This record gives sequence, C-alpha cells and structure tokens, in this order.
Amino acid sequence: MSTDTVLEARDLHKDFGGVNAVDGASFELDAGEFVGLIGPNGAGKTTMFNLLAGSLDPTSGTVMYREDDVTAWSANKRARAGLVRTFQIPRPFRRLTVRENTMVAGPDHPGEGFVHGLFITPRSRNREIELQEKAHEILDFVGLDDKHDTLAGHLSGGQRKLLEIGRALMLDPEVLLLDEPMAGVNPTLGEQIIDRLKELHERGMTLCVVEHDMDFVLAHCPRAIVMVQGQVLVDGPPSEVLEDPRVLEAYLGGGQAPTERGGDASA
Amino acid sequence: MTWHEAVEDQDRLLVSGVLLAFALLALLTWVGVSTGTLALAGLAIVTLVVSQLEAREDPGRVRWVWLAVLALDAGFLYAWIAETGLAGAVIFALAVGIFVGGWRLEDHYEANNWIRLGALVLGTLVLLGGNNWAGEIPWQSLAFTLITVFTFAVFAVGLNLEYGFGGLINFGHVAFMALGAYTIVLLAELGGFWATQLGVFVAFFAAMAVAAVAGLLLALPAIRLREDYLAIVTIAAAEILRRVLLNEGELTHGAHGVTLNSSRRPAVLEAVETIPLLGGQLVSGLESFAAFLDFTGSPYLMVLFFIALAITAVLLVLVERLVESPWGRVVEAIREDEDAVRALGVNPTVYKLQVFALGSAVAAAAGALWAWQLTFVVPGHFEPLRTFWAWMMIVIGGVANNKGAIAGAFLFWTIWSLTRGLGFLTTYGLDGSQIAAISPMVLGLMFVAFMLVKPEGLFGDKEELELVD
Ligand SMILES: Nc1ncnc2c1ncn2[C@@H]1O[C@H](COP(=O)(O)OP(=O)(O)O)[C@@H](O)[C@H]1O
Ligand SMILES: [Mg+2]
Repeated sequence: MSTDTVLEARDLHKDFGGVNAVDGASFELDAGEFVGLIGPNGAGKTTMFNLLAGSLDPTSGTVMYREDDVTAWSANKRARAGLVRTFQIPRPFRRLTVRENTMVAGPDHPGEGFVHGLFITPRSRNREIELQEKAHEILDFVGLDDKHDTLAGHLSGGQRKLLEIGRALMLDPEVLLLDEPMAGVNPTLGEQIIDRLKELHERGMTLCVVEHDMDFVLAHCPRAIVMVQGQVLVDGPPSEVLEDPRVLEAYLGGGQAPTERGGDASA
Repeated sequence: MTWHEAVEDQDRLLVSGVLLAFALLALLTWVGVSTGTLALAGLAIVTLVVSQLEAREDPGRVRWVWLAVLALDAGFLYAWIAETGLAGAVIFALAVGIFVGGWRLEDHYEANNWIRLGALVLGTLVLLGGNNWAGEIPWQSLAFTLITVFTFAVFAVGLNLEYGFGGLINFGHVAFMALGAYTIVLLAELGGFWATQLGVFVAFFAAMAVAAVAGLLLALPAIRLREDYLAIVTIAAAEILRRVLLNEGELTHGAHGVTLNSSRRPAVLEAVETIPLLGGQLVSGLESFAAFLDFTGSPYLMVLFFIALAITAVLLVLVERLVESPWGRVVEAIREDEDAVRALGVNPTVYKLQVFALGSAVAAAAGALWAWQLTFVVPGHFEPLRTFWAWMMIVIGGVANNKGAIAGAFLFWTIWSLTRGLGFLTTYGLDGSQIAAISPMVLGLMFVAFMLVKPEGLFGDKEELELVD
C-alpha cells in the first residue's frame, strides 16, 4: 500500500452459493485518481462495488480505506467516512421530492435524532438551513435545478442517474464509486454527466467508474482496470489495456465487443 | 350550456345517485302515493333546477344552495328509511351538509386537510349529538361512542406511523393496546400511590413506556425481516400475548380480566383537578355542563371524553411534527428504499426500532383510554380483528396521513353506530343477529368501494400512491 493509496481491495472473494462473482480480486486506488473499471457483463464489477462499499460482506479478503481495515464496517459507516457509492440502477426515494432525497444524505443533522426532530432545536434548524443550501448547490451542479420539488418517482431515467450522483455528493465523498453512471442515458445528458465527473476529479475527488463505453474510458480515464470472471485481468493506461490480447479475448469470449455500450440488469 | 358541461364529473355522480334514490323511492311507494312521496319528488326537481342554475353562473365556485338542497334530500331520505321524525331528517341533512361543505371548502382554500378533518369531526358531533338531542341516542352512549372514536383514532395514528411513514407491516398492533390497558388496570389494582391523582398521570406514561419497551424487545430480532415476515411475526406475538393473558390466573385473572373498580375511577377526575390553574374549574365546569345537558350518570364519561379529545389532539400534533421533521424525512426514505439509505450513511435499523417503539407507545395510549372508558379489561377485547380495524381506518383515511387516520376512525365508527341496532329492519323480516351483521357488512362494502373508487383514501395523495413500486 503506497502512501497515496486511499482504497484497496485485497484478495476479495464473493461466493453466491457456487457462483464466484468476485474471485480473488486486488487493486489499489490512489488519492485523486480517475479510474475506469471495465469488463464484460457478469464480470463482477457491481459485486466488487458492493464489497468495497459494504453493501455485501466478502467471503474472504480485506478492504482497506485510508488507514483502516474497513472490512467489518457497515455500509453506512463507510459512507459517512467518505467512501460513497451509487447504484447501477438508480434507487430514488420515489415518494420524496428531489430536494428531500438529497437532504436525507446530509450528514451530521441533529434534527434526524428523534428528540431534536420533535422539539426543533436551534441547532437542528441551523443545520437544516445549511444543508438546504448545500442541497441547492449540488442539485444545480448536477443539473436538476428546476426539479427540486418534483417527486423523485417522476424523474426520467437519466434524471434519476443525476439524482443518484447528487445524493452521493451530499456526503462530501473522498472516494466515489459510480456504477455505470451513463448507461441508458441520452447522449446529451451523458455529456453533462461526464463534465460533472471531470469537474469532481479536478476538485481532487477519487473516482472509480464502471463503464461499458470504451471511448469514454479512453478519453477521460488515465487508468483502466479490466475485470473478467471475478478477477482483475489487466490494470494500466486504457490505450495499452485495450491492446492486450487477453482483454480482447475476454470480451469476444463473453460475446461482447469492448466498445458496446449497454447496461446489465444485476444491480 | 348543456347539462353535461354544466356538471362536473363528481357532481354528475352525486346527481345520478340522488336521482336513482328517488326513482327507487317512487317505485317503492308507487302503490300508495303519499304526500311525503310527493314532497320528495318535489325536492328532487328543486335539486335539479338549482344545480342547473347555479352551475350556469360560474361552474368553478362552491354551489352552496345546491349543496344545501342536496343535504336536505339526503336528510329526508335518511329520515324516510330509518323512520325518524322531522328532527332526524334535519340533523342528517345538517351533518351531510357539513361533510360535503368541508370537502368543497378544502378544495377552495387548500388548508392541508385541516378543514376536512374539522368538517368530519363537527359533522359527526352534529349527527350523533343531534340524534341524541332528538331522543335517538342517550347522552351516555354518545359520550361513550365518541371516546371509542378517539381511542381508535389514536390507535390508528400509531399504526399509521409504523406503516404509512415507516413502511413497517404490523399485524399485531393490538398487543400494544392490550399492554397499555393492562398496565393501567394492574397499576390501579396496586392502590397506594397509583390510586392518587399523580399516580393516574404517571400510570398513563408508564403504560406508554411499557409498550415502547415491549415493542423494542419484539422489534430487535424481528425488524430486520422482510416486511411480510414482520407481519407474520407481529400477529403471532400479539396472539401469544392474548393467550398468555387468557391463561394467566394470578396477575391478570385470565378470562375474567381486571376491573378498574369504582373507588379508583374518580381518581381520573381528581387527576384532572390537579392540572395547574385550570383543572379545578375544568371539572366543576364539566359537572355543571353535564347537569345542564341532563347527563344522568356521573360526569366520569364527560370528563373522559375531554381527556380523550385532548390526548388525541396532543398526539396528532406531536406525531405530525415528528413526521415533518428531518427525522420523519429519514423514516420515509427508509420506507422507500432501505439499502439506498444505508448507502447514504444512515443506519436504518435505529430508525425502524424507534418507529416501532413509538407506534407501540401510541397504541398503549389508546389502550389506556380503553381501560378508563370500559373500567374493566379482558383478553377478549384484544382479538386480532382490532388490528385490522385500524388497518381499515388508515387505508380509508389515506395512508401516510395522520389526519387521514383520524378521519378514518371517525368514518368507521360513525357508520358503525348508524348501522347498529336498526330495529326497524325487523319489519322487513330480519332477526337480531342479521341486524347485527349489517354494520360489518356496510363497512366491508364501504372498504371495497374505497378500493375501487378512491384507493388513495380520504386524505391520501393519489400522485404518491401511483409511485409505490
Ligand atoms: N445477489 C446475487 N446472488 C447470486 N448471484 C449474483 C448476485 N449478484 C451477482 N451475482 C452474479 O455474480 C456475477 C457477477 O455479477 P455482477 O457483479 O453484477 O457483474 P457486473 O456488474 O460486472 O456485470 C454474475 O454472474 C451474477 O449473476
Ligand atoms: Mg453491474
């Protein structure tokens, strides 16, 4: 683990009753990196994110975040510590407004305690106002400016992806794991999302993006990690990675060309 | 302007209903045309004409005259069917007018359903109070019914907190009402401090605390279950509790239950008297009010009515505040998607436990009212059916709406009371048990009608209902 490493997967395994979705995968992310995580459908990318973010417990292996072994940490503890993920299929709180969706993610809110909620203490009121301003900024940033009071269930697929990112940003993530943020989104909105991600990268956030679109990875990520059958096959600059015969074979063997854009259903 | 343009959709529905009723009436009395039938037919014509005229002026506004006529129609129809006198008709008409008027006013002023809730409460009071003034229902029974309404309103608010806001399916809610009721009577049985005025106050909070702790203990292992499994666990737990109460001889006296005996009952009155500043005046005021109304019993039920009203109001305001706070926002988010909440750094389990404990405590408040009202408690009071009554109330009222839960309780009991003991049905050849079956039948039909026509309930949000996955 180099001094710059913020997140490390150490020999992670996840066995779903016989299916080894992640089968001994290891890699490190350095602070401020913008990494593309690619691989054919079913390669274990989403499962990898689940293990890193704590949504699933690994069968074996370790997740290191900053200085800590966080393998035993709950997903919520990791998120609060700045290790935040988004879902491949967005999971909006459908009957809450876009603003409320975002506010739920706002950390350190005394009003979310039951007594403060009941008595609306000044501390709670102030924090509510702070977070409202922050939510406002973030929603404007991701391009949902005119949707603050819309119920999230009414958003289009693309807007849900934006909300997914917006909610994550409320936590001021140090490492942001994005699971196919552009899949199924129309090209204009896709460009908008790419712009936002680049801006976050410039601000120093560590980003790891699962993406099917190789052009995107070639154009924007200095580094690509290729997963195949639960393992890390190649790790390096995208131009080199894509030349690798093993990668081509894995994609063709998986029946899918690396440039194909699309989403798989397993969230 | 044609007839169809003039009349809004729902109005057309009402008009068709009234017309149909009159057609039926005419058919029934065809054999012997009485002056009453002629009068009704006249009213029908007036209704139509008025609706035409008022709609022509400005289709958008509240049509008061038509509303009044419609209400009168309903009143006379009711009086004719239930064979009450003129007073009965006027009272029914007034109540219907208040209900429908409240509905329309809310549409106009959009006061977050407060107008509707007010209309519902006021209409119920007029209906039940009026019937009683007209000699249809005695005061005792009126006060008794209204206390029951408040008890179930509180009970439903607790369930609504759990299901409507928290998404927790609790089919054993009645267990916590039982715990509240038993805590009240058992503490009173201890005597000493518990028979004092302060003791009565403390016992109320003790009942809530006992249920909250019990709820927490049940929820600790159960809350992680998928929602339908939670439903099974809770209904089983409630039945187990009832069986224990039934078979335990020493403490709860099994099927005989526990009586809150008369020497302790006045403690509730005295407890009210100890309320700083106003308590004394309150009791003596109520006593003279009761005397004025020729309320023959002790003022106990009268005082309890106001206690029930106060508890309902306070709990409504508190729960409303809670669900609208940031805390409530998290709870609703958990209802929508627990894993997403977790990924956003919040531990849902803590909130679900709190919601379950709180809902249970609110149910215990209802249990306390129940114990005070009946002054005895037996296990038979707490059959699973009660939980499902509360489910009906919150679904009728509109899930995830506190005022809706209360409105649901009012509607449920108003219909229950009005369809109970309809003695005149014996003339149609029904026997006692058949007449007793009318109430649940009408309620069941009403429930089905709601599901078909207004699945979002009285105060529910149709837009939100469509977003449930
Ligand atoms: N909860 C689960 N239970 C069983 N199998 C799963 C589960 N989640 C994923 N899998 C399987 O694990 C493999 C990897 O899936 P996933 O991580 O979603 O791949 P990717 O995101 O790379 O397309 C697939 O074969 C998938 O069917
Ligand atoms: Mg995936």
